This record gives sequence, structure tokens and C-alpha cells, in this order.
Amino acid sequence: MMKEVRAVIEKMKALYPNWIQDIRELPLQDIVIRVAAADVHEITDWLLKNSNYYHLSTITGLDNGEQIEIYYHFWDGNGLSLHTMLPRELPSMNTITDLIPGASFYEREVFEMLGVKFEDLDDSRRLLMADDWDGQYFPLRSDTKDSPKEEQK
Amino acid sequence: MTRFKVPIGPQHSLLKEPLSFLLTLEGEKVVESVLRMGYVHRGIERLSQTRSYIQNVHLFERVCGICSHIHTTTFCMGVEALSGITVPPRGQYLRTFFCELERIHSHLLWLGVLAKNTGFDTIFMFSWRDREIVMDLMEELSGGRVSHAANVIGGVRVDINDSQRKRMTQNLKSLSQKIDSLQGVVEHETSFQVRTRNVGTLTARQIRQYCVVGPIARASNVDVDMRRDAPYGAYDKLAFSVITRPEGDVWARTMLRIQEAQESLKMCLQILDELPPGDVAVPAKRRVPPGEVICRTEAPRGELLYYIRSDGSENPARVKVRTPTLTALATLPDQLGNVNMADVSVVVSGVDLCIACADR
Amino acid sequence: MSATVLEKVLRWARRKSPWILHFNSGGCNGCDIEILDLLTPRYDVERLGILQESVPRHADILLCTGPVTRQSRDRLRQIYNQIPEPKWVVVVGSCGCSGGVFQGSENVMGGVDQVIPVDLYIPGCPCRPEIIIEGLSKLLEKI
Repeated sequence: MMKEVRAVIEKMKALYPNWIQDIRELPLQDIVIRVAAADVHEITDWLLKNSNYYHLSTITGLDNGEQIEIYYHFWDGNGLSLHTMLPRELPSMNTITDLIPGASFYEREVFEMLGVKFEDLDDSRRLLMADDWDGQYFPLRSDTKDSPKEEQK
Repeated sequence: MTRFKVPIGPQHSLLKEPLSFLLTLEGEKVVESVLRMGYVHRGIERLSQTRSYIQNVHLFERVCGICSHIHTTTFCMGVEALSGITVPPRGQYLRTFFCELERIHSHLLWLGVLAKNTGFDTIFMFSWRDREIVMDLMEELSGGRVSHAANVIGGVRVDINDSQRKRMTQNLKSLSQKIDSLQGVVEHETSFQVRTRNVGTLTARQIRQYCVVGPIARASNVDVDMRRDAPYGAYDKLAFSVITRPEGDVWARTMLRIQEAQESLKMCLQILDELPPGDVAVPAKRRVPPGEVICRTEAPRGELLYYIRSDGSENPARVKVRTPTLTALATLPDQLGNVNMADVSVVVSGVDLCIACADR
Repeated sequence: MSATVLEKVLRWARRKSPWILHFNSGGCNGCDIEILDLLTPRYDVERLGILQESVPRHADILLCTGPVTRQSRDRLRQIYNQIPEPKWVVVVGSCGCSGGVFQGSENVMGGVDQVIPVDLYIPGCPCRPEIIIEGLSKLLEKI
């Protein structure tokens, strides 16, 4: 299992050496490679055409205080995740919904939670937040304080 | 022909949870459907950052009531991997026992709800009555019918003694006969088959594009199951087969879930037979060392993924939950394309929605 | 005289056949499956005259579960307004009583009583079907 994912990474390194900035192994048999945000679309395209890594489990976004980190979790017997960093002001990325249509739900959620704009995302309707939310705050940003609750009745 | 819009709103007899559809009909055919979720969004991922790991076990159990145990199993697996502790074998077997019991209860629940929404109330009553055997088992072990709180970080907090084991084996064998008879009824009832065959069909290519997992994927011939592909708990020691079917419609999903419930029953009997002696848990530390981990398990509805990042304090820095129903919802507009209005309830029930999981 | 007899008959009719409408305003589903369990052969609330209705206009009692989220707040109010008088609201589960485990979350308004008036609170996480039946029979005595 780990052999196969390592073989894929070696092939990637041989063909496109400047894609991979860092490799680390996580417990429970997952490998994370750090890549540049602008390369994610190309790498996804290469993975879909040249390996069995077509299943995108999810896109995780998190705010570590200084930067916004995005993970793309792929799976084929072993996990392979792409990890990229974005600046906190006006973070934006290219969408991968032209390659994987199912990623639109993941990207809409990352936008609502962290404010990351995905260029050319066809479907930017509200997913999880309420209709009266208009981007006033993003729940998972580290500088979001709990918003005051309105009086009901 | 004029088009008119029919809302199937948050409150509807076929939905147990709030979810909103706007269907555009031309005569009897559905031409377009728009989905609105988010009624059950409670902000659990944000809440988990303000609570400690032990409190989070309690919180993640309430992401969903039907698959509560698998959420805590995955979370505890991740925290145990970060802390470097290993659950003893008896604890692993008991955790797996609860996972499989939960799978049986979830599939029987779904069968009843599908039957109720197709007008087949008899199967609803029978399958929920048979499900009570499983609920009694879970209550005897853990004290709760729906929320068991069986998992702790480091193992489980429940144990089985010998007399309980014998009685549970007998009860499970009687349940096996009941599920067999349910399968017989469903297989031979022509009106049920007519309603569910060739409805809501998804091809393997659509499954791949929408990243669908679980029984819906397996019913369209996509062979994916985390219990076999990434074994956790005691699955590497149990003998089970992963069932797939080629048809891809609601009928295939029904038969697949009943067969999976039977496989799970066999696994439960095997676990009770081979339960190793020893402790059920090891002590865990309050603070988890810094690091990150990704853990995947197979919930009753498909692949469940938890990404946990720890910064060395008592609270996690980020917990991301990926639930299987999220992408199943993405296929609903495709499944509802060109069906009759009367088939909408069959298609929507056939997906086995768990909106509480999808919205978190 | 006849007015009192009429009132007595109406009270008897309401007490012997309360029809319920179930709405989940943001809960985890645990209490909902226990409510659905009431209709199944083991607990069988039909012996108390309780039927589950699908339309607010036909119902007498609104069974609410779950904390009220921002998105479902208006719908809950709309459903409550559509149920004809006399109506009663029963909240099932700790989340509906006070917000439960999800207190403090931004998207959660709190318990159901933040939005509509409540007649009976049944705590539990999740409630057992037996206690829901006991709560409903206590409510029926008061009608």
C-alpha cells in the first residue's frame, strides 16, 4: 500500500521536480505533500490521468493564525493529501470542479467557513450558513469572536 | 406544457430531518430540482475548538444520532494515534462489536423508513420491531439505546461477561432468521419491486465524479469499503465479504443493505465467539502532543474521515469531519432528473439521508 | 347547559385523539428516531389515540426536537402559526429544552422556547420512548 503511493510520488518528483516542496508522513498511513496553491489544479489533473488517486475525500481548510492552510485529501488504498498555504487577506484558489464535479460541495463549505474564494466556481449558492448570513463573519477564522445572539420572540 | 414549482420543505412527512427541495414539474415529470441544506448546521467544528478532547468525545457523539458510535470511534482512533497509545485487543473487539451492531440497526431503520415512504407499512412495523433486539443489546451493554458513550480515549468503558455472551449469541441468531424473512418478503413482493427498480439509477462514472461512497457506490459496482481497505479495530481478524451489485437503482441499494446487515450479524457472532481476554482500555493523557492525523472508517452510510490537528494543549486546534451523506446529496438532482412525481419519495428515501451528519 | 355538555364532549374528544406533528428544528436525529419508535409495535402510541400527521393544519400537538438553528427559526414559527387552536407544544430532548450540547454555538439560537411558547419539556439525550409516552399522557390529563 505505502509502496504504491511512494511510487506515485517518485514519478511526480521525476517528471515535475519543483511541484513538491515538502513530504511528511502522518500516523495511520497517510502522506502529505506540500505544494504551491497555483499548482493544485495541474497536480490534480496529473493524478487523475496517471494514477488511481481519483477519489477526493474532502477539502479541509484551517486558519493557523498567520496563514490559511488548505488540504486536499485523496484516497486509493492509502491517503495522499496535497497541502497548500494561502495568505489571510483575500485568499483565493482555482476551482477543481471542472476535473471533479463533486468538489463543489467541499469548496462551497470552505468558502463559508473561512472566506477562501474559488475562482470560476459555478455554483456559489449558500450551503451551510443561514440565508441571512452575508459574509459578515467566517466561523472558522481565528479572529472571529462569538457573534452576539439576537433577542428572540 | 406549463411548468410549476413544488416545494418539499423542511417539514414533510417523508423527511425525518429538515431539508428543502424545490422541484420544477412539467406535467408529472420532474425537470429540475434545487436543494437547500443547512437547517441542521450547529457549528460543531467551531465548538470543538473550545472544548477539551474528553468533552469532544461527548460532542462528536451528537453529530448524528443514528451513527453516533462510529463518530466517536474515529475521533478516539485519531487522538490515540497522536498520543501514541494502543487499545488492547479486547477493547478493539468490543469497539468493532458496537460498530457492527450500529450498522445492523441503521440498515433496519432505513429499510423501515423506505417501506413507510413507499406505502409498505407492514415492513416498517416488522423491521423496526426486529430492530428492538439490537437496541436492547446495546442498552444492556452500555445503558443507552441510541447514544451509548461506549468509547473513551484509550478503549471502551463497557465489558461483557460469559452469561451475557451466551444470551446475546442466541438473540442475534434469532435476529438472523428475522432478517432472512424480511429479505424474502422484499424479494418476492412485486409491487415493491415495481416501485424501486430502475429508479434513481447512478452509473459508476457518476459515482466517481461525485466522490460518492458507501452502499450507494457499492450498489453501482464500485468496490470500496474502508473496513477492508484500511482495517481498523478488529477488522483485520474478522472474515467478511464486501458485497457489490451492478444495477445501481434503489432496488439494488435495498438488497445490498439487507445483505450487509446479514454480513454484520455474522461478524457480531464471530466477535462474540473469539473475544480475547484482557483489559478493555488503557489510560490516556489529558494533553495530546502536537501533530496531525487523518483517520478513515466505514460508517453505515460510507466513508467517514476525521482530520485532527493538535497544538499540544487540552483543546484540539482543528477537527474536520467529512461525512458520507454530503456527496450523496450532490447526486440527488441527477437522480431526480426525469422521474415521476410519485417516485420522488422513493428516490429521496433510497439515498439514506442523514442531514445531521451532512450539515454538522 | 348544552354549552357545558358541548365543552365536555370536545375536551373528551381532544384528550382521546391527539394528533401529533413532528418537526426537527436542527437536532442530531437521536430523539427523532425515538419518536418514530413510538409508532412501532413495541411502544404503540396508537392505543392512546395518537396519530402522526404530515400537515400542520391537521395536528393538535407539535413535537419539537433539536436546538433551533438560524436557518430553521422562521420555518418553526411558520409551522407553529399554521397549527389551528387549541394547540400544544411539546419539546423532546435536552437540545430543545436549552440548547443541550450545542450551547454557545453561533448558529444555534438556543432551546425551542426562544422562538415559540412551550407547554411541556421532556429532557434526555436522547429521550427514551417510555418517558415521551409518560410526558404525553401527563399533557393529555391537563387538556
